[in-house]
Amino acid sequence: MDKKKLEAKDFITIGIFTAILWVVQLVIMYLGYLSPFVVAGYAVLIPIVTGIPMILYYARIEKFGMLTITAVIVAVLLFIFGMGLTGAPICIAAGLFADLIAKSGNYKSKTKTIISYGVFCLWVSASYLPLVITADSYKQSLLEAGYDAAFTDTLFTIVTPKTYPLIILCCFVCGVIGAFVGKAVARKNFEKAGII
Amino acid sequence: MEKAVKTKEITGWLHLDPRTKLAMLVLFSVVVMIDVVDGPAYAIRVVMTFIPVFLVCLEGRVHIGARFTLLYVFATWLMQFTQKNIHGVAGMLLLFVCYMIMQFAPTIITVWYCISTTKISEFMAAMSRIRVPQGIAISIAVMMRFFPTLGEEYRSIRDAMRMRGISFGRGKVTKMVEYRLIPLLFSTINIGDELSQAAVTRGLGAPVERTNISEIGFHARDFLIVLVMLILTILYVYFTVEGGNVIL
Repeated sequence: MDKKKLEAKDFITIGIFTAILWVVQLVIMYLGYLSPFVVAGYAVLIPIVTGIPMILYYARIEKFGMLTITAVIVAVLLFIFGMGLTGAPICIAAGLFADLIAKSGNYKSKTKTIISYGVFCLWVSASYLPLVITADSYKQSLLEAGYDAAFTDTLFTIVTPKTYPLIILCCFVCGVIGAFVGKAVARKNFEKAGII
Repeated sequence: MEKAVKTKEITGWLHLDPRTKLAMLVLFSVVVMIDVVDGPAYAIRVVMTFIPVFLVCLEGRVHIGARFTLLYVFATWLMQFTQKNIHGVAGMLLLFVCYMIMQFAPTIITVWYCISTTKISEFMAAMSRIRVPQGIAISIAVMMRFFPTLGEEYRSIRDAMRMRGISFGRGKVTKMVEYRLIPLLFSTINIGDELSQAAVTRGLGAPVERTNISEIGFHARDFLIVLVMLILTILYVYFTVEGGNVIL
C-alpha cells in the first residue's frame, strides 16, 4: 500500500463507519432527553460507546484524510440535526488533528490510535457549544416551554462556559477509555473472527 | 440486501431535484436550530414542519404522513395538557418526550423524505453538478444508503436475540450494548466489503470522469418549493430576532 490517495473503497468505508457512528450517537442522544445528567453525560457515554466501532474503523484506515472526511460529514450532520454551525470548526479541527496524530503512528501504532481517538472525541463537545454560547436565551426558551426551573438550573450548572474546558477534557479522557474498551472488545470478538 | 434496495426507494412522481431537497434540508435546519415556543415564529415553524409531510403524502405515502401528523398533534396537545395539569417528576418526563418529538421528528421526517425519494445516481449527479469532490459525494451516498440497511440489520439481530431469550430490561447494560452492537458491526462490515467490491467492479474510482444518465434539473415545482421555504425561513429568522432570541 504505497498509494497515498484515497480510493473508492476507502470512501465506502468512510460512509459506512460514519453512518454507524451517527446512528449510535443518535440513539444515545435520544436517551439524553430524559434527564439533564444524561445530557451532560454525552461527554462520557458517546466517546465510550462509539469507541467500539471507531477502533474497528481505525483498523481499516491506512491513508490520510479518512478521519478528516468523517469529521466533515459529522459536522454537516450536526448542522442538519439543528446543532448549528458554531461547533463545526471544532468538529473538523478535531478530525484533522486526530488524523495527523494517527498518521504520525502510520495508522498502526496502538498508543497513537488511542490518543488520536481521544482527540477525535472532542467533536462531542462541539454539540454543547450552542448550549454554552446562547445559554440565556436557551434557558429562557426551556422555561417558556414549561420546563421545571430545577431542571434548567441543574442543566446550566453542569454545562456553563466555566465548565466547558472540563467537558472538553472529559471528552478526551472518555475517548481514551472508549479506545481501551474498543480494543478489548475487538480482541474478544473481532480478532478471533479474523476481521481485523 | 436485494430487498433493502427494493423497499428503500419510493419512485416519486414529483421528481424534485436533489439540490432542491438539499436546499430544503439546509433551510429546515436553520429553523430547527432556533428554539421558539410561541408567537408568529412558532406558526411558521409548524407550517415549515408540514411542508415535507405534505410532500411525503404527495409521493403516495399518505399513511406515513398521517402517522406523523397524528403524533405531532398529539405531542402538542399533551405538552399543553402537561403544562397546565401535571406537575412534578411525571410532568417533567412527559414534557421531555413531547419536546423530543416536536424537536426531532420534523428533522427526521425531512431527512427520511430526502433520502427515500432520491436515487443514489441522481444524488451523485447533483453532487457533481455543485462540484462536491467525488470522494465526499461517494461517502455521503454510501452513508445515505446505509441508514435503512442498519435499521434492517438491527431488526434481524433483535429477532435473533429474542429467540435466544436476550431482550432489553434483562441483564446488564453492557451486555445489551454488546449483544446488539457487535453483531451489527459484523454484518455491516460484511455488507460494506461486498458493496465496495461491487462498486469497484462497476468502475467506481476509475481515473476518468464519471458520466451519469439520470436526468436532473430544476423545474417550476423546485423553484416554488425553494422559494416558499426561503421566504418562510427569512420570516422565521426575522420574527425570532424581533423576539430577542440570539441567532447562531
